[in-house]
Amino acid sequence: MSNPERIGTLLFRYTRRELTRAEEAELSAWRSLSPKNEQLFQRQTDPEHIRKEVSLMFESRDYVLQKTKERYPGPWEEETKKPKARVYRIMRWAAIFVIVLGVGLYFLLSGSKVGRPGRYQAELVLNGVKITLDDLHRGFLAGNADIRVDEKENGELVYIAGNHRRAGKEKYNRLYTSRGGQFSLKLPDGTIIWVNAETSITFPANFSQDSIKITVEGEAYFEVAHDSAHIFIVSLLSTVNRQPSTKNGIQIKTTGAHFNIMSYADEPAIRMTLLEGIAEVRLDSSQAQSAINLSPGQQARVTDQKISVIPAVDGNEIIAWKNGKTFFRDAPIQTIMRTISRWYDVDVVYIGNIPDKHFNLNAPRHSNLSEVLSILQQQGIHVSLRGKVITISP
Amino acid sequence: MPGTLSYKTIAAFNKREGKAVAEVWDFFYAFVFSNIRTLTNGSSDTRDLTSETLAILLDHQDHFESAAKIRNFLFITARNKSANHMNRLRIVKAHSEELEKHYQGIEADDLAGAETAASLLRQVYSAIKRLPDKRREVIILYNQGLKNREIAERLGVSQKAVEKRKTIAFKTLKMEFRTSDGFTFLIIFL
Repeated sequence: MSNPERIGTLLFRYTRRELTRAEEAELSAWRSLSPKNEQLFQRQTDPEHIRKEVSLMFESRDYVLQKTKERYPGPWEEETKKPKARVYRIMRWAAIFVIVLGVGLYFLLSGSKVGRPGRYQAELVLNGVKITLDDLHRGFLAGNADIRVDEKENGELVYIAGNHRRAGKEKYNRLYTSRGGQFSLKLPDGTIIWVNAETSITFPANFSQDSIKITVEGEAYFEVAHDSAHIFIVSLLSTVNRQPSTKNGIQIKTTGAHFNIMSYADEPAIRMTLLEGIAEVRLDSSQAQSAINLSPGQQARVTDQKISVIPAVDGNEIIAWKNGKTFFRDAPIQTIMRTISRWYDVDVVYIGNIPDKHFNLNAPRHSNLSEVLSILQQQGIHVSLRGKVITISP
Repeated sequence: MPGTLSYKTIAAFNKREGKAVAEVWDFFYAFVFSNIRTLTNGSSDTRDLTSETLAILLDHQDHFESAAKIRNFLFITARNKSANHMNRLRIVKAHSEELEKHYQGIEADDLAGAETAASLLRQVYSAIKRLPDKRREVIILYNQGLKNREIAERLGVSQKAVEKRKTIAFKTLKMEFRTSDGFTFLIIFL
């Protein structure tokens, strides 16, 4: 028999009408495996049965808790009961007032928040409604099953997208980050997308379809679920060097790969790096049409309507951002500063002839800007920060 | 196992710190309860067997590396407790045809089937438990078979308030519940 926990989860999703097509197939295969499974399915998904059983669990809880405590008298510290609703509401407003006052005072005293690293923050546009996703809003969103934000062990926040099977197949939702923002997105098939700063992702509301079309503008790292039954088609809505030359022209087609896409408008090239699996990169514009297949460790670069393949790149360096690091090896200062300006929300100005020199950087992403800049300064370049502007001079 | 028990909680639980003990108990209560209930064919002793199983976990000296390890420990303990219970019943009332039939039913019952059912029920239980207090109260009373009027009286609020809380709660749960008169709520969500 298949993993009971997995089948239990499929049954749960079935009662909520959340199954993807692949999950439906999985459940139906399990049901047809033996008459016993079918019997179990019929019985366990009967709403009346669920209602009775769950009701009994709630009724029995206090008794079982009491009896366990009698048998195990060791330390036991339950969460304190919430105060009465009215008192709670007043306290909540008082807390908000104190926070607002505190934040205001902070800005008043410290002048600004310049130099602080980015954080887990994004905007979600769901059915045309914009919702801010961050730690502060998490509490308010809790209990709303349509907007679920989970926190991972390492503190990362991830938005769990639902499968809205009644939504039209052409209906898309969008998650985007500003400068200094980062977030993760988990799709109904288990695929996870890490979204870097200043990035926008659109994804279908309805996952019950064979091909999943996603658009990316900015930087994102995909881990397509190994057992995903979908074909992922990722389109890059991007412009190169601010020229709208390749708009809608690059597509990545894959089934179960791990890959990073960097398609910021101010980068000299669009880069797609494959870490696991296989993927096809297709360029389709008015001037050129070509396609290549990538193997793990390879990077496809698109510049001037051409795809070129870098045969071996360091995957760790490419996805350092996702692993909580700002990492560069032998990189021009301009490349490093573009990343810094996105993460720390600052602008960069170059004065004089900047030497054609390469730099190294390896710092945690939560470092303050001054710490990062001092690492660069030690490698022989003048860096100064005034307000939100970094000035680089020889 | 869906839902989370952080590594921090498990580390604190290994030291049997009070807060972690309460959290782990709460996390696995529904899992143990529904497993034992299925394995004992809905025995009225389910509540006592559940508390015994959970107390054994708390008394156990071993370190657990993950929630999955705790889960496996509880599943095996629940299975043994249920088997002993059913054996006892069989010995005490060996000639009772009714119980014999029950016993055979359990013998033939697939352990994995019990685990599957327990997994589903635990997730429904957790989903209801995550609801805000007022909505949860309404759903629990509704599940007990109370009518809106009775729930309103019990909670000291208007019937309208009950209906509103119930509607929002059902939307959040995205679930279909049927009252004893066969009326079905179909929840339309996004």
